[in-house]
Amino acid sequence: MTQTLLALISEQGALILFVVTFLSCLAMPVPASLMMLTAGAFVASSDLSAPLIVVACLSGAVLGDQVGFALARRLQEALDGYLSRRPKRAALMVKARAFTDRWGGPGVFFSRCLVSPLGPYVNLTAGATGLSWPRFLIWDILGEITWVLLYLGLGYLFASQLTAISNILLNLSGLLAALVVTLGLGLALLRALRHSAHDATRPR
Amino acid sequence: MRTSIAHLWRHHKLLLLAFVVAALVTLAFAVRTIMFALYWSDPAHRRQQLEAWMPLRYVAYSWQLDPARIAAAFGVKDQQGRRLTVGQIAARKDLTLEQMKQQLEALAPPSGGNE
Repeated sequence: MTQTLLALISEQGALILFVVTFLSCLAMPVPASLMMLTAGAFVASSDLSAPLIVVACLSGAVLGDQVGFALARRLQEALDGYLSRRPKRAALMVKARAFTDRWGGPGVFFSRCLVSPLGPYVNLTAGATGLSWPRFLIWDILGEITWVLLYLGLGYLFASQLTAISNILLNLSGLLAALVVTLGLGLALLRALRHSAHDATRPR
Repeated sequence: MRTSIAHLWRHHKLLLLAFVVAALVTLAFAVRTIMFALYWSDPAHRRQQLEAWMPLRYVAYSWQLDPARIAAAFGVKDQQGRRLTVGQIAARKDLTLEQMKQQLEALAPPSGGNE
């Protein structure tokens, strides 16, 4: 499938990049990062025009993020009705909202560029835990600009070694995303342990 | 340590399993990244391989050839932004990708053209 998609960059140009970045932001399994690196290389060889490609990638990605966020926001309204009847779960949601309120902005930014495989899930979480839309939009646009320019730029710079740079970069991006998830789960485990130690020492 | 793990296994089984899986995935990515970095650090591997999806101009660019000369050799007009891929030209000329590659290589300087 990847070969077909890469051939489509030559055949369709900007349009296919818009579609692919849009779908990738909704967690569809399309190789958006690889296609942006390739598009960057094709800009270097004068096969594609840089401004058109930047606009296509950026608008596809931001639009995809907004759709994910809006869907989750819809879900949140349904969730609120359900939680009002279950106080224990509602307490958990209050915690999640506080977390989003504190870390939401930078979280959205870094999940666009540094750990982009996590982006679609952050959109859903941000929408469902009530991050304000203007805040989401601003961080989203800043993050996607970084993502798009980083990948197109590296594709452009390393155009004659496209396979090498994509091999290394895509693995590195997977490594960072997996590392962030591992650290997050590790922290949750530590917290669970501390909680149980606390419970054990508490007088009954 | 052991009792901690036993405790987590009893009370937070899913969380612990998720952590182990995530740690293994991280390790796999780390190993792959190192292997790729080692492979690509060898200059002999760095020359871009020919693929059917590549536009002819891009092949010329990555092999440091004159795009107009390459285009002329395959009987296509060289125009910026007009992207004929190696695959399309091969199909038009009734060539296999391997034959295309040989013809292109005949036009390219010997090994390491982009070093």
